[in-house]
Amino acid sequence: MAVRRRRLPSAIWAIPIVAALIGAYLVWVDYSTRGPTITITFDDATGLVAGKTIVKYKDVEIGKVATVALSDGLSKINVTAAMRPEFAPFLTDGARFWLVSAEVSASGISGLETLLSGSYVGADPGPTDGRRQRVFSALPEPPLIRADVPGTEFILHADQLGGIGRGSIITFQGFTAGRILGAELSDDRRSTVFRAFVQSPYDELVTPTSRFWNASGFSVDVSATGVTVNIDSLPTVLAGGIGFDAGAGGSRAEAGARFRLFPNRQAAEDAAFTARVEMIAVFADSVRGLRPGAEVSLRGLRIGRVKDVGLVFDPAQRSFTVPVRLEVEPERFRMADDAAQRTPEQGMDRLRALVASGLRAQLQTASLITGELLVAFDFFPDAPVAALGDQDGVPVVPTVPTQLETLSASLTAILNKVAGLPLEGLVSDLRTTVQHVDALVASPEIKTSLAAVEGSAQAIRRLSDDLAAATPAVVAGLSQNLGQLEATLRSARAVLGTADGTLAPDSPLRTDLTRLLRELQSAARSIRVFAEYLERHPEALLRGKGVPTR
Amino acid sequence: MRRWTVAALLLAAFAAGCAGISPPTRFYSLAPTVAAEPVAERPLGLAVGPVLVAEYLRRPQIVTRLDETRLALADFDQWVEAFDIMLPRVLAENLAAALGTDRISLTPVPRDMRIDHQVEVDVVRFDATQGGDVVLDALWRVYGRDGERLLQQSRSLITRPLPPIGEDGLAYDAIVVAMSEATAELARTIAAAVRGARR
Repeated sequence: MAVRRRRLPSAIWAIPIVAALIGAYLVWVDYSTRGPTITITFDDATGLVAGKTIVKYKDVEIGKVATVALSDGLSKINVTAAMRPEFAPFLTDGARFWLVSAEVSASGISGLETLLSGSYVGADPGPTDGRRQRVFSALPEPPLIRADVPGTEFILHADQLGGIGRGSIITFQGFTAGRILGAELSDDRRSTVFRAFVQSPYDELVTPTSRFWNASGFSVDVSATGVTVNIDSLPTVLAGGIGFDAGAGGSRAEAGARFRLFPNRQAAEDAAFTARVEMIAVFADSVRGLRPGAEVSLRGLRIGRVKDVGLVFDPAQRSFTVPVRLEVEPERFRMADDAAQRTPEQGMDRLRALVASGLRAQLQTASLITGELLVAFDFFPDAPVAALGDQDGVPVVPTVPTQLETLSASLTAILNKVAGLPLEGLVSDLRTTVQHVDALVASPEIKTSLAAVEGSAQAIRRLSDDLAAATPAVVAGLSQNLGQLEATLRSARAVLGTADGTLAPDSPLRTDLTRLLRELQSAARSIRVFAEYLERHPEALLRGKGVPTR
Repeated sequence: MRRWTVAALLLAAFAAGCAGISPPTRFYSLAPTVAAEPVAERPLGLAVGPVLVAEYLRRPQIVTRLDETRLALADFDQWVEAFDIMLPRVLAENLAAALGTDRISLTPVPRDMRIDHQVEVDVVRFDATQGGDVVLDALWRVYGRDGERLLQQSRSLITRPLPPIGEDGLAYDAIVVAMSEATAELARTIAAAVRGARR
């Protein structure tokens, strides 16, 4: 009987199997603890070293650069990095990577530590619910705001860059509320578009009526009212800044909302008055000094501005008129009755009524120095009757002449009256009068008059004789006066003596002056000697006086 | 923290630049060396000045002559006061000692002081040639009667020998001593002229 002998494998086989199992376990452990390897594409990889450069998030190492290689077209640099496994869930399509190296700019100094430690790759995690990604493109420069900073991004439009750029600060009532992330030309290349990041909680203050303005640098405003200098905080002066206000209130603005960036705060405030009513005022006077933007005032308060100034020739009348377009901002004044919503027609009716009761436009001088003009509305109940006109749907407000023009008109009237005087008749009348006088002089009455005059002369001579008799008394009075004069002279001399003492060579004043002069002389000499020495040895300022070499 | 690092770096750089320390400067003064005559019973009033000093001497550094046209300024051997202020004073002290008077003043004189004579001096040259002599070249005038009448004018060229140069360059001590002696010699000459004018 053949023994069916089942050959068991030798126990020795257990050893390689266990070894294989252990090996597999080690491989598995190594594999499972190894994080994913990602590829980051850089434009410039200054300072990146394979096996040395680390990837950091919040200053904690989350990976290490494994290889640095040029891309196929040599235009990019592909960097592979072994990431730690705990960061793997964040390697989604929102993750960002960038190169950190030392940078000095107007808005600050950053990355100084890289001077000693070398550059590193900064990382910003993506959302965990994003799409998994293993190939990333590095940002050209470090992001200003980390992904986890709460806040809202808005879009600002401006006509010009105006000193604002990436990194410019956004302030709200002096608090730093955000940063400008970037600036670029708009699609039509006509304006500048800024991406503004306003961080929480300031982003709640941004409403659809908020106004943003450029608060960069400082502005000096010289006007008839004085000089105004506006300086914001130093960082905004250096790096540019943007201010904003909460506007008229309202709900919170949505992310990506578009705002206009006003060139300055004044412009932003003026823009608050959105409603504008256009009017025309036709002036017969010279409008020298009236320019677009000039004030339109009512009782001295600004209610609008001049939009433009035209010149129209009327062939029928053969005259020039100057129609001035005005923009009145009705929100600048309140209605006392504050009735319900006004329609444009109602407003027009009201304007018509005002004109009927004497409302007129008039050119007035805003500044006597610059000769600037403004358009003033006021009530002239005595003005000639006029009605509100209409030109292509724009109301035409009647005008009254300037004060100066009124004056010149009345002057002309006076001159006309003078011209109308019967001068020739007057002259002939005068001539007859002279002839009459002539006849009078020749008459005998005059001769008798002359005799009377002679009598008067004799009387005067008698009077002077009497006066001579009284002279001694007069002389006595005179000598008394002389005595007083002498006393006065004496005191004057005393005063002069005092002055002489003050200015004498050994007077304290002179001594002090001499000493002062001597001090000045010695100070000047010290400066001269110092300057001479410096001229010969400029390095002495840093190194001290050197030992003479012979 | 970063800001402090920058500040520390800047400070270190600054300190490194300032590491040099200037050697000390030695200061000298002319000394009046004329032996004082006893003060006379009726001392004469003397005004000294204006003493004009050549512009090249009007500085604190001691000036030495390298050759006929070349001069050197000693940056580490200086007069303790400006030379053109010190020289008239020392000259006046010497004159006072030589003439036996205590009624002496530099111009401008006090208002109440009686003046018998006034002495004007123009110092044209007063320096040491290296290893040679100290040379004092001066024009002087003596006026009488409240400084209105010119009594005598003359020019003095006084030289004083210097010891040979030692191991460590110029011996400024010797130069200053020689210059003091030259000043005293000039004072004696002028004093003799003043005495002569009084006779």
